[in-house]
Amino acid sequence: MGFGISVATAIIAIGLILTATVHYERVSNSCESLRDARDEKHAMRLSELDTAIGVYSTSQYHYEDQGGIANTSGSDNFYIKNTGTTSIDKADLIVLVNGASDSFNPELSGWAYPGDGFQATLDLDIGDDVKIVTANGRSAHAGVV
Amino acid sequence: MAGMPASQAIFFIASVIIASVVVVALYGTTGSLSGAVVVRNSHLTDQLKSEIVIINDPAASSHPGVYVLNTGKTSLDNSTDTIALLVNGVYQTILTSDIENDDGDLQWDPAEVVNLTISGVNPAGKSIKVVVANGVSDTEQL
Repeated sequence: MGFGISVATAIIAIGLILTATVHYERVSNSCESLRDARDEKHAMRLSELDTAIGVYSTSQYHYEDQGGIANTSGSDNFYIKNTGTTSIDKADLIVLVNGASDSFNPELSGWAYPGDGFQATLDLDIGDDVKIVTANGRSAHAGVV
Repeated sequence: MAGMPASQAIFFIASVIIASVVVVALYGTTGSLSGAVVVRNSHLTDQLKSEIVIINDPAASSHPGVYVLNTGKTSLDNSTDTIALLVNGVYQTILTSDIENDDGDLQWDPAEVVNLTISGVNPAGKSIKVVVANGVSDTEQL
């Protein structure tokens, strides 16, 4: 009787070890992926907090020139400044004019480092509303005056 | 075993059989549980890596569609039957879901915008909610 119980205990112990060994690795890998995803989410939030842009009517970036674009005949030049603390890929900027998707002409490329300002060009009319959106969803508005 | 009484032999065999049954049951149950944990973790991982933002300009009086920016770290499915669009809480049938700034691979990658068009409803002044296939959503008051 005692020997039988000992053997049964040994079988259960071996079974438990086998079960733990087989399932531990895949659950562990899965938890590792989840931790990585959580870190990425955290990085996304930080990147969002670090990103900011402003639209200015002059390259001097006076505060009073923020949020306005001076209308001129033909193409209208205005300035975008990276007011955040992280770099922005200019090619990823999205433009909406009066609610509709548009594109800069000429198209933008390269990086805007924190504090950098650069010129952009669109065909605009007085009263138009321009919204510039970064790749992570941060945006700036400007009205054409 | 040769000198073992029959009753002891029966107890021994019964113990081994019961132990084997317990181990098989434990293995199966743990397998189901770990499988469920892996599936759930995979779903959560997918959700954590996904994020969308409705970027329509609330200042605009009309909208040619609902612009949805992929701000996550993974590609999303932009087919019309996998995206749900609610205007003021009412489900809308999406006519088209084209990628505005596609890099050529026809996939809704991070930093790309999908334009969801609907018929007969101007989203201006209304509450818009977009839900993608994995349940990630964004709501915007236009």
